[in-house]
Amino acid sequence: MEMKTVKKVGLLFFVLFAFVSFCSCERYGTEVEDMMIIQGVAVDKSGNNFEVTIEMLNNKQSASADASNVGDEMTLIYSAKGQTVAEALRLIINKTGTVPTYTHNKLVILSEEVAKTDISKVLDFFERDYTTQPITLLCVAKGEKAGEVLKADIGKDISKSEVLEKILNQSALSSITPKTRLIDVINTILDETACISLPVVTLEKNGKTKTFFVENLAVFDYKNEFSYFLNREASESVVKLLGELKNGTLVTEDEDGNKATFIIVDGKTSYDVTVNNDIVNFNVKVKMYCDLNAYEGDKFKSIKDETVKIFKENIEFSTEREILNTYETILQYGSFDVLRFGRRLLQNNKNAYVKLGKDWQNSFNNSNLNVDVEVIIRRIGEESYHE
Amino acid sequence: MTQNKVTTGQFYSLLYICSVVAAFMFVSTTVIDLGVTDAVLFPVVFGVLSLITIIPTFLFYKRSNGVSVLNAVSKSSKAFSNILAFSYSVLVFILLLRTLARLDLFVSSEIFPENTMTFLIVLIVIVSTALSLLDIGALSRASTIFLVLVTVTVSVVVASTFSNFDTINFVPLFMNGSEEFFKQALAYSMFFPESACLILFLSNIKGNIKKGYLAYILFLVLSLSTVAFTVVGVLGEFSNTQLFPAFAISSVGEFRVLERFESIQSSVWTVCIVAKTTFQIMIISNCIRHLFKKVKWWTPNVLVGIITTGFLLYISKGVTRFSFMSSQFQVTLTYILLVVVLPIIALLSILKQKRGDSLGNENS
Repeated sequence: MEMKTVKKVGLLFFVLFAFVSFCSCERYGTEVEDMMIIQGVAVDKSGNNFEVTIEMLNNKQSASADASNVGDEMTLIYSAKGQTVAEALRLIINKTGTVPTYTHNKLVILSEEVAKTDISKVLDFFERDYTTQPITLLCVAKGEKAGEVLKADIGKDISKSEVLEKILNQSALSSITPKTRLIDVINTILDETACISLPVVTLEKNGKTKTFFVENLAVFDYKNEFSYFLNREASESVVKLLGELKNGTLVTEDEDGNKATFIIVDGKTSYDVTVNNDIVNFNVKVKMYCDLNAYEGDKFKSIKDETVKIFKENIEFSTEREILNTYETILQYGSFDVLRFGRRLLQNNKNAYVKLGKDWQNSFNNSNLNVDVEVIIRRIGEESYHE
Repeated sequence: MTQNKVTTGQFYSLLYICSVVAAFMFVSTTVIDLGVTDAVLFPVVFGVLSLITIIPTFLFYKRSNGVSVLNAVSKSSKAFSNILAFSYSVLVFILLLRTLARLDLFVSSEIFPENTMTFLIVLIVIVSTALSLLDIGALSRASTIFLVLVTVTVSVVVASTFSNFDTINFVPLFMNGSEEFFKQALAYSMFFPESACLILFLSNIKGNIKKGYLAYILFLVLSLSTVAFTVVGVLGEFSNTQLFPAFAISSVGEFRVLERFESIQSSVWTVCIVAKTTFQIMIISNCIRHLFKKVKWWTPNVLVGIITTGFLLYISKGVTRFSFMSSQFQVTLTYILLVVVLPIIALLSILKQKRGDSLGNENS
């Protein structure tokens, strides 16, 4: 057979094959209406079983040309129980009749009860399933069942998962809580010397509706089980010690007690770790660049250099004190290393890590922290400045 | 081999595509830890190893006067050249199966999970078989375009993940000792035996083969190290929990309004895999043609396509069969035979022939 003939026959065969086979509608679940596009997952305990609640897109509304005229809710809520999280999620198919996809899943909310068990077992599904995403956010529901958070009435035509995702992202950007994507949490679990901390979400009543509120952290122990909550100030200090400081706000006072609000525009944390007689000393330097955003004391007049200096000193002092208090609290409540200081020791002194890492909880409990906060007041806002 | 001539740039583009696909399709194993800083230096060890193991091929090239390996060896011993052709065809066939088995695993888990994608794999075998009927020149020229595509895609994905870099993922080098580092680096290097194909196409390449090889290795090491650096910096130890770590980074990256680069990544990879499998079918078919000179010119290619499909249908059924295709023992053995043993045997054969020729000249 001639080469040209082979090519022509081959091409014809391929075109015919593609024409009848590549119509893309053969598999069930290819059409948007047939898909369960999951936006958020909440996991609760129900006896020995798990109860999962999902928020999925209302595809009929999403698929219509003019979504506002459809009248249905933007998202739908379903729950199911199962022996495992994976089974419970699968059983939701019986209620929706659609194929689940986690590609757009924004977050996983764990109830306090679930958090009190080894959460690595719960998270296995979200790491193993092919459609789940490594950037999915994790948080803990406080005071409510996790499912109630997704069911909360926060207004019409709103995806609750989307709102909560924005809040969690913003609180990480504002340095209130650390990054808690699935990648970060699993990396922390894989780090034998580290403990997880997850943002806490609570529901606040706002008239007839409710609003989400994220401002502190849930601390887990070395078995990945929830142990206690940290307050907002401590949570912000954890972010600083983790080296994740980006933005945020600070309030301080001048010598007359007038309050000044600063915006943190940038931050940097550096570490120097020394070991003496098996005692680890963490010398942490936190550098913060701040802009003055509001000041009660100047009556719209210029701010003196002296006042700027007082602000700087006050912020440095109060931040150092908050960080040290947080450190003391963490050591006091079981020495669960949510600061990933074990990892910092490894990066600085491998030999000491090999020796002390075996009983890190004890070594961490005996460690010392020295903090040096340096504040650089970068701008003073839309106000005249005289030297 | 065919008499089509290709430039060094075109041929090494093809080799680069074949090698870089192996890195993309790298499956986390229990032997190699990809989540630690050491992984960034594994490609450097691979580069040094590649420069050492290529020496017999260059010595052969110097002495063969531009004749292809099978023809050169057949001058001294017909039977011996047949053994060499048979060995190459079997070993490259194993590489072909490994490539396609990984593609099967990738497609049926990352692109269309929970579906049997045998249909797509069979289609790719058909396309690769049809393309293998073309000559090496056409494939090499196409590879230069693929090279640009791959470079742009990888650069975009790496750049898009920049904001997700976390220094806490990096641990000191040689974390588990230098012995463990070299053990893992060598195990890693075994997954890249593509340079062994050079000896089969020496007569087809025009230009400075040695300089081209050096540039190919340098560019490959740089690319592999960049990918490894990104995997460690962005994913850390999480990468060891992922089936295809190099693919997992594409779901993390975002650049302004652009995010989720999985689709671009998977389409570019598929194109490269088609090029690689075409190249491998081409090598096996050429070896079969050397063994059976009277067969029709297209028969070996079609035969290889059919046998490959049969094996893939078998492998696709269970995960333990995939595991065998990536088992360190099998991978190491294939590498040693292809990259070290066969070129040395070919070199010794041609040296023996030259000595015989010189003795014959002295006697006459």
